[in-house]
Amino acid sequence: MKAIKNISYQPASIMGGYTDRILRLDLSSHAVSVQSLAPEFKEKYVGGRGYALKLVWDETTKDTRYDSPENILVMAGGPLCCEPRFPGTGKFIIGTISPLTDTFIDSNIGGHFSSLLKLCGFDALAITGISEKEVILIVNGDEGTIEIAEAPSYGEAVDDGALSYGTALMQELNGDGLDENVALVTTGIGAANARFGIVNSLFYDKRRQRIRSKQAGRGGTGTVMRRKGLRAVIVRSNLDRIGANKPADDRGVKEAGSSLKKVVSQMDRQQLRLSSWGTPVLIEYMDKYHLLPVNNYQYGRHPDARAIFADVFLNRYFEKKVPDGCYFGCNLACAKGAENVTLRHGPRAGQQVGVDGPEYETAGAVSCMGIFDPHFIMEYNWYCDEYGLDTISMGVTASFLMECAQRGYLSEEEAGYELKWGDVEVAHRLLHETALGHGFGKVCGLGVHRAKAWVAEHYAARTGEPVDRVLAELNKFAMETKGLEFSMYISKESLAQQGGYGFALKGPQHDEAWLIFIDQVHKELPTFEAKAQALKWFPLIRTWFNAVGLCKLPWIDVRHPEAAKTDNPAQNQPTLAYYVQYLNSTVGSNKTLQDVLDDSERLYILQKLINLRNGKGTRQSDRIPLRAMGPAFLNEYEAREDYYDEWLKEQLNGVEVPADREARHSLLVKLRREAFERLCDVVYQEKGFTSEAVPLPRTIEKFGLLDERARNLLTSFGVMDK
Amino acid sequence: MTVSVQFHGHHRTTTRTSEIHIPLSKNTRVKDVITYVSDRYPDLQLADSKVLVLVNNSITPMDHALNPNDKITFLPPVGGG
Repeated sequence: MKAIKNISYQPASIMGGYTDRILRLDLSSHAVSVQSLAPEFKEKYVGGRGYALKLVWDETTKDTRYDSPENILVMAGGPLCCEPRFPGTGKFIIGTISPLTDTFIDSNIGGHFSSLLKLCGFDALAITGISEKEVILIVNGDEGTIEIAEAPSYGEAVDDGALSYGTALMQELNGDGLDENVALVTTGIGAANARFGIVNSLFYDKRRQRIRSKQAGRGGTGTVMRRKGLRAVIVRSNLDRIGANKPADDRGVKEAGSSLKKVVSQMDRQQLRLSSWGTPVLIEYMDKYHLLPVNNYQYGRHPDARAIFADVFLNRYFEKKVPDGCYFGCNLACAKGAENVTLRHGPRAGQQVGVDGPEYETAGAVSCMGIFDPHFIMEYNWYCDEYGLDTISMGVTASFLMECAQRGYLSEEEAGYELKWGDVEVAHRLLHETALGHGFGKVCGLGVHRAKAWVAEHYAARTGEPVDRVLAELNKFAMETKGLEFSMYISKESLAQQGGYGFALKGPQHDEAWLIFIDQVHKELPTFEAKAQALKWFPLIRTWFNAVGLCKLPWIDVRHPEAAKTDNPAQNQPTLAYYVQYLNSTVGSNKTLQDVLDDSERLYILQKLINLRNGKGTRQSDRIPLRAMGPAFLNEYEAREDYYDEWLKEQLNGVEVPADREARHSLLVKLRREAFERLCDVVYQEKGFTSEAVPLPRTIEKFGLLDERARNLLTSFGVMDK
Repeated sequence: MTVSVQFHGHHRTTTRTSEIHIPLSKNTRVKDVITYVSDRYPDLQLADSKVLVLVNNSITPMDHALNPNDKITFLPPVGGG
């Protein structure tokens, strides 16, 4: 391995969950520096997403694009990551300017990386510049060294794979002995060729005796890392992780962790059983409630969906006797995996691999292409991880293109082959072409937003139709907002979730708000006002998890037995009390849940400012495609005609429903559009925004963010005088 | 006259069926069905803190009187990860 730079440093100690240091790497000059943080920094920006937001706000401009040298790639855990005595403490955030949305994106990711980075003395790693040669970064906390080296080559097949390359790198650096005190992040060849490249977080699992991976999937963070010329970052520390945060109240940490672990242990096996079934358990429930995004979200269920229910994976693929988990001490342990899966397609056909997954989202993305083959899901999962591609964006873009072919907007000649629903061979071909940047894969690798423009231009040239008119039709079923592909839930019948997707600052990913069940099934949000309150509360608490370095699942998917007795069971406040106790015990604060929400709102507003600056912050950017609001075309209406007819009857309240089916469909579309616009008005008011979704000065001032930059930005939107 | 009880997820694998039909008598209530199912499948945990009970896809109180052909479903809390 050829060293470019090697420096020694004294690792900072951790106190109350923080080191108050950021490791800075400028890849243009290969300069390494340590940024010390004043106490106010953590008080205001908390950690994780908050740190990424602050650095992006300060160091990029409205003109910064994903491949600009000044674009900053931030990897940050938070004050609560690292401690194994509390469940779900292996999370960190990767934040940057996205190649898909051209504004701030962050994606959370599990594994050991951020905990080891913190033990090496850093709360975050911030990377700018672009290296001429591909490099790796090695941070060794045990030896107190930081090294930049030329990225070694292990042969084309290994070099192209995020998993293969990471494994080879770890073996080279560790000799033949792998251990849990080394972790790394890598990217694959797909991140070099597609805008939705992921960052893989690799760690050694001694139970499975192999390297496992988790992914920062959304928004193209891996594409940014690859564009910067950074192939991998390796962190090493042998320090003990129990109590490593040096909490203010060690007993409080222990109590909070024990309390939550007890709830997880008691309730999960009686509720979703994530610990044994993993997130694929959701497939069955999504199919039942018409939420599975079949054929590009046209239909919510499919007769063949039974073939991919969670028990199929459990019985056929998962190793049942191995307790899983992406970090020490998490007894929810939902990161399921499979061993010795034989690949049947693609360049690695015949090879046996270990598969980390599938998660629900990956299976959903495959159903989006109309495929219900569990083995294809396993292969798709592995190849996307190996190539470094987001399974969601890959599946949604592929299925969008399939629907373009179905509706005649894309010809077989343009694609090079017939893009058919439910065809494993076609899906494989498109996946490999996308990763390798070959053929029609170049179009797919653009993501839905840019592929839509490509299809519109080509169709217009072929038919003579105006491009704008073609785009208007494609917009009905192009499942993206702000440039990001939708995650894998149909929102047609949940107005609250339509808002959950539309208002999500990063684009339609459900990690800000997943309100489908409490709205559509539980019917706990009957009014616009109730929906608006939920659309404020849930994004704030969910943002907090991404700021402190915690996984949300032990809170959101395991209901505390006492929650049913509270006013709002879906908020699961008895469990949140443990989180607040853990926070206060670690950092030495005395915060309430409301204080936590206020801290989170500051970050939310900061992200909103970045969106406004980068052209993705107004009402127009919150609008969602028609298909997210209802049946975009008549075939979708017909698929649930009785349901939609009944819905119309209720809405019209005695007024006669049109006899003609097309007229009923048109009326339903009109009502759905009107409802979404009304929801926008009510939600913006609840959040302290103007009707154009711009925060009012008093909303920003409340959180200490109304500086000159913010004033100038508000002035440009004409709201400083309000 | 009957009502149907649908099983999903681990309830389906525990009961080894996705649906059963239960004879309906006058004034049969949701809680009577819960008792029946719990007796028939003692491994199921159907306390209200563990599952939500839906009748015809709507959350329904335990003392709600059932009608012929009602569909009863047990749903775990799902928050969306």
